[in-house]
Amino acid sequence: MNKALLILFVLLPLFIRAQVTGSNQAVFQIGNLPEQQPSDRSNLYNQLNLQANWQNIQLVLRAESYAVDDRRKYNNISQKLLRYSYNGFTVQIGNFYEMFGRGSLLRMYEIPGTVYEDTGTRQRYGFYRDIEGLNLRYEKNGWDVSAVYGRPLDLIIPPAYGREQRRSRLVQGVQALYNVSPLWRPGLVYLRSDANKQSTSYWGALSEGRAEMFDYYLEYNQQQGFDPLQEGTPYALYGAFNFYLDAVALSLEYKDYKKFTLGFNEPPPTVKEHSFTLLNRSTHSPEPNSETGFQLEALFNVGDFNTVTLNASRAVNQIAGFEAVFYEYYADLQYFFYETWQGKAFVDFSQDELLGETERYTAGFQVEGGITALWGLALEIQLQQLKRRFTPVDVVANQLFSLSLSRAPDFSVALLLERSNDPIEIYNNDTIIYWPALLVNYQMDSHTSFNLFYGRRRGGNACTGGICYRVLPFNGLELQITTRI
Amino acid sequence: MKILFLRLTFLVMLLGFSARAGEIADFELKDINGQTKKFSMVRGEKLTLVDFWATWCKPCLKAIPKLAAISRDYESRGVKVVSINTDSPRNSSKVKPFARMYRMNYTILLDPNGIVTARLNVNAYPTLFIVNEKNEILYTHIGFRPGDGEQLRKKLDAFLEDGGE
Repeated sequence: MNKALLILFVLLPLFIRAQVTGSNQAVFQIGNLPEQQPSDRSNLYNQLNLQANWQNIQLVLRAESYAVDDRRKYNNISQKLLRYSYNGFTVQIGNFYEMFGRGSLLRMYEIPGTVYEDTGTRQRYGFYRDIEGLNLRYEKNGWDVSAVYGRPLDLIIPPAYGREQRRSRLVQGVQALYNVSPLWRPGLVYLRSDANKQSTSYWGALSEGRAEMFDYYLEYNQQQGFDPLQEGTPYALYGAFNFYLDAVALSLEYKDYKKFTLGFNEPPPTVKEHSFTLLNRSTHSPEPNSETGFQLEALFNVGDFNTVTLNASRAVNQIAGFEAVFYEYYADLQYFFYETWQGKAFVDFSQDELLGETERYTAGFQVEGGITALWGLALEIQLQQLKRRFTPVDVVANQLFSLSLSRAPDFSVALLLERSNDPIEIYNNDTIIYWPALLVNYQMDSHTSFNLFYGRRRGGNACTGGICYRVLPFNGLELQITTRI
Repeated sequence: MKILFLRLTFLVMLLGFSARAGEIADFELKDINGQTKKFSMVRGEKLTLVDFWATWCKPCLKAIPKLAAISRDYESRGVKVVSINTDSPRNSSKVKPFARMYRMNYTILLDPNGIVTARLNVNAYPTLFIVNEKNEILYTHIGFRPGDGEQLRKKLDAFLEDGGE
């Protein structure tokens, strides 16, 4: 079946003269988790994506393979999609992505280029959550209606467990929005989820709108069969409001989640997503069983392209009579100077009682610019210290240093050093652990690029696009070749 | 099956090493004001610099002043900058205030569900394409380093001299 699909995909576009594009990501590793044997374990993950476009029809195929010296290897056609669009109608059959509202009830996604590694089986696979089934969409005359029927992928379950377990749940739902005016676009959502011979239904209502100086969004979802906002009703309330003048932009998000653990989807986290590594690793993970909170951000333009960002967020969890509070205050300044140089400095103070962490201070800067017309230099320093309950050191300290040299437009080399005294990270009698690494990037031409990592990689959380996942630590060499046609 | 898969993989890699250009099939997306725009409506008369970016992407932010300067300096020569924001719907409402604060003086389209991003096989940010009036991709660049702004200008100058071929 898979072989026939691959042949069909290659041959069919030739006959119908479709435009075929594709990309391939090959990641080779030699190395292992710290302290695990063999230390020179090798594996190759490969993801091949092919697309054929012909008039209003699009065919998509994804093949993934994992080659390793044991039974954990696999070769899968992991996505296949036929999409047809005409005059506002879109039909998708196969593996597709869809989101209802801002994703409180349903959000399918992909983190491009990310390879996830399962802790138990050590299998590596693409990090995406799609639905396998049917999607009908109508977008015309002010209407935006979408209906889905299919099985979402549980991406935490690795390919070794097979399709039955990875797609054990069936979801059926519909969302309808109507554009009454720019200021008011109301919508209704219904979703039913079937798993383990149990059926659960949810409904929701949302409204959004925009004007010259502001926009807003409000969404309420709850489990069917309960009175709205009564004690014990599983619900998720999410709102966002943005206001902007010429030099100032304000953004407010609010969340209130109770018993909203769907098992296949998470509501918006409503915390700042950081691009600085140490802060990104410390991102708060929401607990939809009981969480209320907000995020307020102000962005100021302070001349040309220079900006100041201020952010405050807070979340309160009620867990078995215990109240856990997360809060974070963040400020940064981004500044462009001397034509080709730019710098960004930040300070951050936070607490996350779900992790037992208090008095978490983080600060750092990054400065980057051209030393000649082609060559550039970048320096980044991040420092963090925190207190954590039940940890044998008084203060946990993390540091990150990075120095990189680049040649436009195709080459960069960076030295990265992380250092910590965190007892969770230390697996021998040392008191300090280091993660030195060398990173090389070479873009050979418009179609091919190489990324090399050699050294020790620190594990931990990584968050992108509101999705957080666990990165395993790694000691060794990793080479990634990305090709596109 | 495995052999076929490997052959296809190598075929794609080989084609990648030797391929000349792909094409951007016309598409439509909403802009930051909620208006649906076709790519053919917003592209440049001769060349278009297409930038796939996200608000959380550090190199993307470094590119913005250079792209704004290119937009200002090359518009009279038939070149337009079209940026395609790839933030998820949860963040896409932040793009308009963000664009104002960063003085983005060019077209900004929103691709919150990643449909155009996937169609063009974009899997890293920023990814920049230089596209001619036949929608052929003449040049692809991934990431943004010091000096890349000047290199983009040189490429645009060269393609303009060659008549976008």
